[in-house]
This record gives sequence, structure tokens and C-alpha cells, in this order.
Amino acid sequence: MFKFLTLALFFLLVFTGCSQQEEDLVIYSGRREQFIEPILKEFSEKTGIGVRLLSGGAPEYAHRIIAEKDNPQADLFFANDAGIMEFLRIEGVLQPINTESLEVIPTQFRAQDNSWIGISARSRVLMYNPDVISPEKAPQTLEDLTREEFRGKFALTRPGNASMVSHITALRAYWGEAKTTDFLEQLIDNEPLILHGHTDIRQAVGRGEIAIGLVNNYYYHLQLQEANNNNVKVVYPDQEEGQMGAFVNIAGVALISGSPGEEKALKLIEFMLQPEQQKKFSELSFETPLHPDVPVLDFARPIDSYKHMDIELSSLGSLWPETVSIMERVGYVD
Amino acid sequence: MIKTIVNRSFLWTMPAILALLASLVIIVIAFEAMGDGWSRWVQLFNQRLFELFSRTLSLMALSTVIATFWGISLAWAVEKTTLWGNRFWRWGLALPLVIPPYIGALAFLILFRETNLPIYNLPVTALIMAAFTFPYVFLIVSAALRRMNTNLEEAAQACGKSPSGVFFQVTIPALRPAIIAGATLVALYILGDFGAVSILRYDTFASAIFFRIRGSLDFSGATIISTVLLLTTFGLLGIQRFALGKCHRYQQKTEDLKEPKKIPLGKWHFPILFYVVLVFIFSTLLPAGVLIYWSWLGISAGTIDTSFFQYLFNSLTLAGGAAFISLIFSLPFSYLQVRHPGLLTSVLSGAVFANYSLPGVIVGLALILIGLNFFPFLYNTPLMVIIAYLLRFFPQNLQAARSSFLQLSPNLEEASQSMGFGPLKTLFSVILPNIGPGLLAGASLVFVSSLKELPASLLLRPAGMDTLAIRIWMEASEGFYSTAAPFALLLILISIFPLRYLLNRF
Repeated sequence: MFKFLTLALFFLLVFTGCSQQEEDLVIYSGRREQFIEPILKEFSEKTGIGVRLLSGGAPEYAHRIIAEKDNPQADLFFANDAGIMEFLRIEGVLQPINTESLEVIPTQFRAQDNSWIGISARSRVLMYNPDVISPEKAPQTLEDLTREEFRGKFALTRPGNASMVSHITALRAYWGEAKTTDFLEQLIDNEPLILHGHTDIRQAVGRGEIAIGLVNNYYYHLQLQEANNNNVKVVYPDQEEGQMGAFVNIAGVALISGSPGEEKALKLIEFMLQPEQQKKFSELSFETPLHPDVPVLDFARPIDSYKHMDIELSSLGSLWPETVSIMERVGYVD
Repeated sequence: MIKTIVNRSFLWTMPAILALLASLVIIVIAFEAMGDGWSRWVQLFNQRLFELFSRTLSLMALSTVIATFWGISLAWAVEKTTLWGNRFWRWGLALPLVIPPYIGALAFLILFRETNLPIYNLPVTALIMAAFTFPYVFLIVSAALRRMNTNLEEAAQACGKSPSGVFFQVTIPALRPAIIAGATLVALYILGDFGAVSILRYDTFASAIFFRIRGSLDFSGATIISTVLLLTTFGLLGIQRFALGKCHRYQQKTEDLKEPKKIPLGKWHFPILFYVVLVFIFSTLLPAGVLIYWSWLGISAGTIDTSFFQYLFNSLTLAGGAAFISLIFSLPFSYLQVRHPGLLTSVLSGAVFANYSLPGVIVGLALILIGLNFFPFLYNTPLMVIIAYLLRFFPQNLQAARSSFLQLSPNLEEASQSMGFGPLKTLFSVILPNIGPGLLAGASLVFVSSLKELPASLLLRPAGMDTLAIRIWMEASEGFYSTAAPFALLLILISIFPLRYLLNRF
């Protein structure tokens, strides 16, 4: 009985001791914590503003932000995908970011009303292992993957992956529904190896278990950094005259409507847009900085050195549900 | 009699509170599912709901059959025979419970990827799911075997029955409540698991719900599939009720002075030991081996720092809190189930079982809505996570407690009363000594399940309350398995101690 009471008292103490500090900035983040924490730490040290970072899956936080619509609990949302932020904007749970410093980010990488902005770019590329497939035989366009010679030789991520859904949504925006459905059907018929995440893909390509992988470009950069199995090459697809170009997505930050600490949130955004923070972020994450004055890492290609797919990132949110139904129709589902 | 043992209103109040919370989750889901009208339902049914239904049911049936077979046979070998090392097997065979299924499935995947064997199919998926769930049957059946009065078996043996005759005609019928309790836990677990099935690329309701939530940000679609899942659960519970029937055999163990005789295995000793070792290797050593290898890679790369202990403390606090509350609730709840079976009791337990079969992400999202609207003072506190654990895992405690109660004859309580014992004295000197081990064992199940829990923890934790499971996910979801592995290994190690401690006092 005594043990029982002690235990009860312990839990009571723990839970009453966990009161929250109201004045902290609260961030929901779908990004890997290691990329963000150093920047937030420096921000807190310089400004004295406390930051509480909750990291998890971006989609789960998107649902949480929608559920908290009438009673916002967080200030900022870090997402690794433009589509999901635009989806939230359409749901009416974001508000415009009013700060002049966002002018450094080109307009095509922001929401029309600036309620989200890109911080870094992530282009969809084909990485391959030159030991398995020679550079002259490597696919040069996305549609090449549907050809017989690549049957069973390329890897895709699981369909629930936001980068993948966004990529297909971009194709849907560019090609229209019929062509996207055809392409996806042929792609899935061509026996892709479906792996859990992009890291599995880059490692499998590095080990030569699969010839080609469709990934975000920084996974290629990450594989180059590995001590072993780093003999990989990259194709930025569809670069020729008359071809559509590579799909360039962004990772960025969105301001939640009714944010309790809006002013502090704006300060953090301004801080993150400073060239030295952009540089630090791209070094941590291997993504491409969007700030024009920030140099890219020496093995990366600058954002303006290749052809981009000509679509509005802000069109992705509204096409998202339709894309998912296309994916379901062709059987590309989890 | 019951009225005098414990105050009746107390008896009903606690189960009612829990069931009310559980019903709120169901109501939120049903409400959201109705939100978009029938056309969405028709659309989803036309797509692949029927296919998912049959895939889910076949996985559930096959896994449950395998897990139940392993659970019963292993419990019998460990408890009733002279099997070599049975003191170790008693807790060693419960170890798969502490391996997070998504990590275990990943380990299998990586092991088998090298072999080129076809692994993305129903039988392999069912085997792997059974490997992580058979301990539910094993634990509950073992506990029942130990409490079982051996007089009947001895009588049957004396009358010339062969050992197998005793087993099938005496032991198994007496174990029926325990077997059904364990099998139900396995079946409902399979319904709600997402982590492992998604890694093994086997679509079930749970993976469809996740695809709706993660891929398409479609909460109402997810709630529609959840509603179908809930209806399936209610169907299963109906089957459970039918299977249990009305034939309760009360047979608590009398205070035997002699240890019950163990069956000598003779020439069967080696084959049976081989079988036990094989299950142990498959369910525990293989995944643990992969984890240790990754951990070695990770630790030598220097991934461990002091934050490690904060996560450990958070995990222990949250899981401990959930197990503690669950323990308290399980006493009146299981008492009601056994001594007051009826419509009301069935409704109360139906509500909590329904939550057990739901994927954690749906329970988590529903709790966000419930917390914001009904308990804003609890929102963003650790208690929300504990409530989620309680809702998700309480049936594990309940099943263990209930099967203990089923073996305790009400005559004992009546005798205690007639001897002039008051209600509290009866509770502490008659009821608790008999079913206490069952309650504790159940609470230990809640504890290890809560330690592993991911989706609801991710959604509901306040800042700074990251658990070990959350850290594992963060690393593993990005493919940094060697960074994730030390956390997973620690999670397993800390789960072993409560498991051993509690199993020793079964």
C-alpha cells in the first residue's frame, strides 16, 4: 500500500511539474531535427526568445493544425514540401508572412499571398550507379523509366512519401490527368523496386543493388559523402530543348493563422533568411539554398544552372486530392 | 454479495469513465465519417475497400492461428513439462513483446533481402506478425496453467488417459478463457498495426488509413475506413463472446504443498526443445542480432549523448503512468465483466476494445479534437499521451485480469463474507491474492506496449517529452538505422526488467 501511494505521489509531482512556458515560440516541424536545431539554438541565444520544437511527420502536423484551427497552439510549421503547405493555405489555417526580408526568395518559391515561403530547394533527380549502368545508357528523362530496358532496374519510394506525391502532382499540373495516369500506369507496370524511403534508395544505388533511383537531389549529395559505396552519378532529367525540365520542390516555413507569438515568429523567419543561416542550413541538410547570394556546396548544382519544370508550386495544393485518386487507380498505394 | 464487497457505484464509476472516453473517440470518428455524406462512402467502397477487407481478414486469421498455436504449445512445454531451461523460457519467450514491430520487421527485411526469397506475401507477413504477437497468448495461457488446479489432470491420468488425451480433453477446455483472451488480443492487434505491415508492404485497413492521412491528407476518408474497421472489431468481439460461451470453470489452485508433477518428455525432449529454440531465434534473436549490429555501428560513430537519458526518463514516466492507471482501472472493470456480465458490461468493454483495434494515428487525431473541445486544461500535457496509451492498450490489462477472475470462484468471496470479513478485507485477503498476479501481468503488458507506442505519442506529446520510440522513428524514418538502433536496444533492455520482475510474481 505504501509503495502504491509513493508511486501515485511521484506521478502527481511529475505531471504538475510539467507546466508549459506560454511565451515560447512553438514550431511544428516535419523536418529532420538535426537540420534545424543548431539554427534555432543560435536564434535563442541571440534574441533570448525560447523555442519549443515538436518534430514529427509533416502530414500529421498538418492534420493537427487543421484541428486546432479555432484555437491555434503553434506559431510556425516547417515542412519539406510545398504541396502540403499550399494544402493548409487552402484550408484557411495559414496567414501571410509580413516581412520585407522574404523578398530575397524568388516569387516562384513562395505562396501567392506569402503565407508560406521556401527556404531551400530540392530537385527531383535520377541517381544511378555507373558500375551497373553506363552513363551513356542512363535514362535522361522521367519517361525513359517506362521503357523496357529499365524494367525492374529503378527504385521508387513508398507512395505515402510527400515528395513523391508532390512530384506526381506536378506532373498532373503539367501534363493533365490523362497523360499522368498513363505515365504512372506504365511506370508501375515496369516493375519498380519500391523502398521504404529515399535513404534506402540512395544506399541501394550506392551498393549497386539497383541501377537507378528517383530521389531528391540532396540524397545524391548525401551518398557522395559516404565512406563506401559512394560511386554514384546523377541525371537532372528532361533538360533538352522541348523537354519539361526537372521538378524543383522546396522545403520551407509557413505562418499559422492566429499564431499566438506572431512577432517572434516573424523574427525567426527573418533570422532564417539571413545568408549565413541559409549557408549553414544548406551545409547541414545538403539542400540547395534559395537565397541568390549563398553559394552552393561544391558538388551541388546551383539552382539556376538547370531547367525547371514550368509549374506554379502554389498550384500543387488544389490538385493534391486528385493526384491521390490517380495513384489509387493505378495501384500505387501503401 | 457484490454490493457489500465494494460499493456498487465505485464499481461502475471507473469503468464508465474509461468507456466514456473510449466512446468519445468512436463518436468523433463516426461523426467525421458522416461529414462528407454517402457519396464518399460509395466512392471508397468502389475503390478497394472490399479487397482491403479480405486482405486484412486473411492476415488476421492466419497470424492469429499461428500465434495461438505457438502460444499454447510453448506455454504447455514451459509450464507442464520437464523442458530444459524452462525458468529462462518463462520470460525469454515473452521477449518479442519488447521489440517494436516496425523495427523488427525492418530487421527481417534487411536479413531476407540478401536471400532473394519472396517475402512480400501473406504467409511470410503472417509469420512475422505472429512472431511479435504470440507472447500475448503465451503469457495469458502460462498464467492460467500455473493457477490451474492439477487435480483434474491427475485424475484423468489416473483413469488411464494418455498425456495427449489429458492435454486435449482436460487441459485445453480448462484453458479456453485464457486462449480466447490471448487470441483476441492478437487478432485486434493485427487489425490496428501499421508499422510492421507497411514495411512488409501488405495493405490492410490500417495502411489504407495511413495512406489517407499521410499521402492524401484526407481525414474524413481515413475515418470512413476506420468506421469499417470498428465494425469488424465489433463483429470479432461478438465471436469472442460466443466462443467463451457460458461455461465458466472456476478452479483456483488450492494451497498445494506439493509442486504439481511435471510431465517427463523422454524421447520428445530434443524435438520439443528444438521447436522452442527455433521460435526464440526467429522471434527474438534474429531481430535483436540485427539491432545489436546496427547499434555497434551507431555507437562507434558516437551517436549517444546525455539527451539519451532524458528520453529514457520520458518513456518510463509516460509508460509507467499509463500502466499504473490501467492497473487501478482493471480491477473494477474485470470484476464487472466476470461477475456482472450483461448488456451494459458488454457495451462498456466493446468501447474500450474498439480503441485497441484502431490505428494509433486515428486515436491520436481524435484525442486532439476531444482534448481541444472538452479538456483544454489537459491539452499539451503529458496526461494526454497517458490517456492515449490507456485507451490504446487497456484491453491487454483487461484480458489478463479477466482470465484470472474467470478462474476465481465467487464461492470464495461468499465464504469470506460469511466468515465476517468486511468488503475491504475480502478484497485484500481473498480477491487480490488470487487475481493480483493477473492484474500485474496485464499492467506490465500495458507498460511494454506504451514504451513502444509511436503514432499517438508523436501527435500528442508536449514539447520536450520525446520518448525513445519517437527518437527511434525519427532516425529510422530517414533511413539512419544505425543511429536509431542504440535507442531501440535501450528500449528493449529497459522493457526486459519490468517484464522479468512481473513474470516472476505471476
